[in-house]
Amino acid sequence: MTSPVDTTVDTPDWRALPTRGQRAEARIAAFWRFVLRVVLGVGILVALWGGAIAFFDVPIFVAPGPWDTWQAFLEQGDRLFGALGFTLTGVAIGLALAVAIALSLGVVFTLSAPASRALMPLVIGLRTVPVLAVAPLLIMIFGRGQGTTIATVVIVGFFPIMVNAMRGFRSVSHTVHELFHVTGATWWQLLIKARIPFALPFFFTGLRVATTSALLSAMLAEWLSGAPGIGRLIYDALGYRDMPLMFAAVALSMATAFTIFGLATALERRLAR
Amino acid sequence: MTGIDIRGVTKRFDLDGRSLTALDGIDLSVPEGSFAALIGPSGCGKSTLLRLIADVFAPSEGAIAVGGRPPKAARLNHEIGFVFQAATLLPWRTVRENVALPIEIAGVTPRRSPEALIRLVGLQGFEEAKPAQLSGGMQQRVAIARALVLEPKVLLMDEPFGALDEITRQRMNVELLRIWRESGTTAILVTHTISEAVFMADRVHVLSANPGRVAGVVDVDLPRPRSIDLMKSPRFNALENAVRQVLFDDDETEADSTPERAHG
Amino acid sequence: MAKWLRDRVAAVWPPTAALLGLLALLEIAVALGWTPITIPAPSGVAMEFGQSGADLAYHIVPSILATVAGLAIAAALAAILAGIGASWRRANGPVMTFGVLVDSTPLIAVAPILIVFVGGGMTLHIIVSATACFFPLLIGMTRGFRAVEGTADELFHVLAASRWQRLVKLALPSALPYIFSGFKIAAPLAVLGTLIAEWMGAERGVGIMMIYAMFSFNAPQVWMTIVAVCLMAIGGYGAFALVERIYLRWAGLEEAPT
Repeated sequence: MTSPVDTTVDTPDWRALPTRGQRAEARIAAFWRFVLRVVLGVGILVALWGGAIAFFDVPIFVAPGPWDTWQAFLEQGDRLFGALGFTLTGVAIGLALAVAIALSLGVVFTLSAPASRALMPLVIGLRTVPVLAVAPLLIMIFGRGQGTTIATVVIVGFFPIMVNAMRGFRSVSHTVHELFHVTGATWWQLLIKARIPFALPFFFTGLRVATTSALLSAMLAEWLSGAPGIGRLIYDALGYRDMPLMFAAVALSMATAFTIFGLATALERRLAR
Repeated sequence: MTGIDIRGVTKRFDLDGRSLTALDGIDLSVPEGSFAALIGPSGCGKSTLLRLIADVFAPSEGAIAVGGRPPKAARLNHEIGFVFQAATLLPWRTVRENVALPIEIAGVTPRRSPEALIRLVGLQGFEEAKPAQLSGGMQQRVAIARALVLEPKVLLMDEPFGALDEITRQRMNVELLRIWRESGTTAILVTHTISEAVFMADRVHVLSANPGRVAGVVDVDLPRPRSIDLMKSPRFNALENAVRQVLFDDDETEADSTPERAHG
Repeated sequence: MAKWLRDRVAAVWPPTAALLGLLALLEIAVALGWTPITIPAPSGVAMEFGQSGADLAYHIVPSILATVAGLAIAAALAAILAGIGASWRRANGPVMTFGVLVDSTPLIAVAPILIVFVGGGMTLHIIVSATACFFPLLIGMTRGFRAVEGTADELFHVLAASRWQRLVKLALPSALPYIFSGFKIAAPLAVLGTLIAEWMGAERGVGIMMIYAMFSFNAPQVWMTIVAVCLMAIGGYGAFALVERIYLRWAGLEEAPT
């Protein structure tokens, strides 16, 4: 009901608006600033870490310093990356399945209002619950292999994707519906030409949420089930007291998670515009 | 030295390294107790000028006197009432609590209670309502009551009725004139509606844009109290045209003032 | 009044019916022997609550305590960092990066390292729980502190309000909806954190009860502990959602920020 807030200057001079080239420059500069911040942050952490270890004179079998961890990384690199590869494969397959199931169910719910009214509240209610808690159950069902990992990723990833996709499908405004109705479009055309484009930004948000929790869930499932992924590697290394290896695996998993988060967020921003 | 006095005020803004001159050499005075209107196209800096008077920021050059003192002193002494374009009521407070906000902040007890002001703006019965339950016009009336509760020397209004439809706006104009008459403050109204400026003010200051300068002044000698009927009179239309003349003449003048102008 | 009630009922009965229908179907399927042994009948799970009820109570109390403590610590830290981020523009970047770092840290990575330093007891559970729910709290508080709209700020400036007045009369009430929203999201995550920490090793806790049940292949008990954890999460979420709704209604705000 109220008009937009006036800026301190009544209207900016159009000549003061940035050009396309300037905007691209600004984006690139922002990216490098982000990278710099990350590198700086990590650098500070590593320095603190190394400093703490040295200051408190912590023995290597309790906690290694950055240097020892790096050594372990170099020496057992193939073992580390092998385990990571196993985990990431499970994550990728799980996510693909989650997307397929979530989107199909999403379309069904959108097309059938009764189904939506009956089942959506249940789905939303389940979202509150930490679905990862069913991991032991999945181990009981799927055994100790990659099946459990994939099942865990599917269950964890399914909810955010579906809920967001539904939000997206529903975000089509009333007037757009009227437009399609008046021009005599079929429900298929409405789906393809209106619902899906409107839903895309929401879908990518859901995908980002699912992706970022997928890695954690996979690692956890592996650790519990004993499948040879990086989650299990951390647990094993702790068991052998090979602390440098454990720290290396932890660092690697954190770096991977961070990277995945960054990529997913960047993808969401680019494609959701 | 009473009322509001603006001398040689220039305001420049820095936007990402570029300098933008919003106001250039403004000379303007508003006699105490009178009603002034500021009108001009977008970008003429009228809202900026209002905020300079309210000490939201300081001028780059020049001086402003509010009741003989600098804006900052007036503001800290709670002599300024400001009504924003958006009512800006605190949604978790009732109407009465919203009107009482300046009292809480200043820690003084004013002559008139919030209830009296709520009655003044015609909202008796709504004291316990929350802003979400009020229409836009009603919210602005609460904002006006709030601006007047400490009996300020100066009432500054930034297009308060801009969001309302014309019918409601004209009604609100009559209301505001009644409220103003009763309060006796010096009032400045920023508006982009010519009829509103002429209807409300004793003097209409027309500003031009890019950069903001005083393009002209139109004195409104219509008798008070003013009613809507006045808007039918020829005198009213003549005054509107006078304002229009300054506003649009200004565009032509700008086009003519290019250096390459041939004849003299 | 009747309409309000009718609307509520109309919204609630389809999912309730669906839920009961699914449970009934499951019951029948188990009776007919269609399901694998890992999926017991809902009645079996309900009975398990009766049978192992005392055990459950014994285990669930430390879990709840750890979760609440974890939430409190994460909230305190989030409040401090959000306050810093709100007061100094430059600090905002590092604060957010820190939050993202904590968020992307796989809990499975944090826990083993912490075990080395603090052992496997309650302290570990609380820290892991706090780590799990920290980021949403940080986001909620940051958004809350930023939630003051522009003209309201100008208003307080023109009214010559002191910094303290601005904080109490403007910033805090504006921030509360966002803060409650953050707590809503954080509560189930804190439950999850406690659960994972207990899986790593604990004497008492719902997580460890679940693991024991898994190893003994006691399907009804595994399901029972899962339902118990779900109830904990829903309870936490519901409690904060209720507080949020009460505040919003009192404050006359229309809708919660998502």
